[in-house]
Amino acid sequence: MINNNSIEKTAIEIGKSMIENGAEINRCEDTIIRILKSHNIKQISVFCISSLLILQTENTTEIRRISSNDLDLFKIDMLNSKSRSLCNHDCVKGYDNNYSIVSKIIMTFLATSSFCLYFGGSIFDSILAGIIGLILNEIKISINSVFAKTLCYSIIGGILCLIPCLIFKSLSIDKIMIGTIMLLIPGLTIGNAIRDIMLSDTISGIIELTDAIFTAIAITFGYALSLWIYKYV
Amino acid sequence: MHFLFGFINMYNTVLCVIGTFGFCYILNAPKKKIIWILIGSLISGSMFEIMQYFNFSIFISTATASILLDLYCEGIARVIKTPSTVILLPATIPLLPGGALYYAMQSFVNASYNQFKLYALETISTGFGIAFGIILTTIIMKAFFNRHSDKDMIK
Repeated sequence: MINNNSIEKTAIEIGKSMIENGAEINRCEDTIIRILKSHNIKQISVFCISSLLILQTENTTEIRRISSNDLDLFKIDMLNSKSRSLCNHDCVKGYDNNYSIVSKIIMTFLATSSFCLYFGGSIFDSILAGIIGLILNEIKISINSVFAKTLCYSIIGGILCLIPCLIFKSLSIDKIMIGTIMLLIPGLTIGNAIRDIMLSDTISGIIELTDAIFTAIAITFGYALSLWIYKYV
Repeated sequence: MHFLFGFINMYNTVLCVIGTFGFCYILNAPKKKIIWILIGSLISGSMFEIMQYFNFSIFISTATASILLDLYCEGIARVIKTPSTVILLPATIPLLPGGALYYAMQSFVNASYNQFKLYALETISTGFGIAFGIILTTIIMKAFFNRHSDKDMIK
């Protein structure tokens, strides 16, 4: 990849995939500038928001539209070490990060079931929450819009919680739902958004903040649907 | 020993750490760094429980836990050479307002607006608590370690 393209192309591709996998705006701009400076490129200007990345140097102008926005910590880590080795003119070292199927199942199960227990559910509630978490994690919805995606997930999650609770009245629907909501909450986004605003990336901060608020609203709408059904059935 | 650990709700803290361990797969965390993530979630979970034990408000509890967690993350990120987000993101999960968001929605559906106000405020103050911790840590790191980003040096 490094041999075929210019260093600018490599840098902007690294920046693009960093944003796509959930890194902060500041880190992305910083990474691109560091890589280019280490290769003696001058007159660097980078502008980045969560959907667009613009880079201009003395040689070229590159623009990338960023559409997907997932969370993948391993890729952020990989890209970070890649840019580090690019800066130091080393060779790129890589390693894979495949979880085995058993550990995948156990970890997804634990993620929702333990938070169900944490918020006061019984053992049966937590087992059910774990199973719903497993199903929800396997469903892949390929919609670009964060709002629509979260809405779909929370409607599916809500209905999956609703059906067993309608059959077995002894289950507590609230605890099961809280466990599965934890999968969808835009955790650090608000914090990152405010940090971006404070570090004078005001536009990208406001975009992230709006994203976080609308994700919360989407969760509320999605789960409210099945709560409403539960109330009247 | 009891003096030290008496006010930590061990049951809740352990559940937080187990839950974070589960989220490590969902967020596809690097396997080699899971142990640091778990220590981070232990810090945030236990600090939150301690502050709740002394009857501090939700905002103060979350902010304190968040400040400690962020300081830990910024420190450990420099030691093991990884972006601080990789540690911070899963380790913040014990602080997320899952319960408050749910109960706000439930009282909204049931049209009990007074309760809705309470829970919505709790959700918002938890969010602001996390953000406040991040802000304060960023300021501290900038002020004391004076780490100029390369952006300042372009000119």
